[in-house]
Amino acid sequence: MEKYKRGTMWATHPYKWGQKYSIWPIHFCTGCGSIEIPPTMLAPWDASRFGMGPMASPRQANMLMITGYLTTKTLKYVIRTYEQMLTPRYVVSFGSCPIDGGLYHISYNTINHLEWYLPVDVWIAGCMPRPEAFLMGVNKLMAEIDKGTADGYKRYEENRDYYRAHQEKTLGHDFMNDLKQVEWVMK
Amino acid sequence: MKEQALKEKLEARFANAQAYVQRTQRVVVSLPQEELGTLLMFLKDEGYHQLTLISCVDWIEEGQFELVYHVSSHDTGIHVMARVRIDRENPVMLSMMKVYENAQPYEREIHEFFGVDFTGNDDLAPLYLDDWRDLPPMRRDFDTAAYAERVYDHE
Repeated sequence: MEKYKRGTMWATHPYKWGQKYSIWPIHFCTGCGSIEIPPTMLAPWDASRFGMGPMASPRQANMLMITGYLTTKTLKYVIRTYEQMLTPRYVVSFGSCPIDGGLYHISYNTINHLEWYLPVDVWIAGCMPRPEAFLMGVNKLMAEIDKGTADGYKRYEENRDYYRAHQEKTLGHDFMNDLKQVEWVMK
Repeated sequence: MKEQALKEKLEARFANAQAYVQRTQRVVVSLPQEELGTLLMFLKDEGYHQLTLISCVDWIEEGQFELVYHVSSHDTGIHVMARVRIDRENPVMLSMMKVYENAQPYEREIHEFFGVDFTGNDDLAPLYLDDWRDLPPMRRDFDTAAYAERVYDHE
């Protein structure tokens, strides 16, 4: 992507300008980090300053927040939700649990590393990250969209076999059959 | 002392039971599994209307599971823990749903996490785990680290 002057992006790259300033996270909360989301969205930190607003439907959202640990049960719904979102779609991982399992590293039902199952654009470390850290992560995501490096959805398309193999190993064959239906509907 | 009176009452009524007062408002009773239903009915008549919890302990060295039934009274504030031991190889226990109806989800959970079968409880379907095909995960011979490495580690 060629460089553009600050302030002229709406004219030169209108679609990118729109993507950057209308990040709509789907209202999907997993784990304990979701408790940080209401004050982030509401008056104390007011995320709508950045053009963010929670969306009820995956078809209208373009950002998926993983706010905490992911059990296999939740991961199934996360993947189904991600598959239903339209591109461009971004994944922001929140807290230390999606990075390496955190407290639940050795557990019978909690995954260790999210990148094995879904492409992640921004990682926010901490247990729990404060709303300030979350807003920093959003700013980082905006900068990545500017530079064209927030390409998780492209990686997901290119390396579909890689992600599908990991999903199948952890979640089983039955779930992969369910996913085929989702893929068929999205076509 | 209310606790001491209850202990003596229980030991007079149940010959095979051993009871002791752990501290204020805590009484522990150990007894054979056949007598548990009678004990719980007796306690319920005494005013112990609340079944707080059923928990399970895996005594793998002794080849036994221990089930602990926590019942409490709102009148005296006493919390009674009734402990029974069952065989670990063939873990079958009578359901206590007839005495306390809210035993159902606790028994279902213990069935899922320890593999104890409760006769008389007709809904022991999995409660929390999805597609679980291994040993029940809270048993002590279930190796959590090896399972996590096998299923969740892709390196």
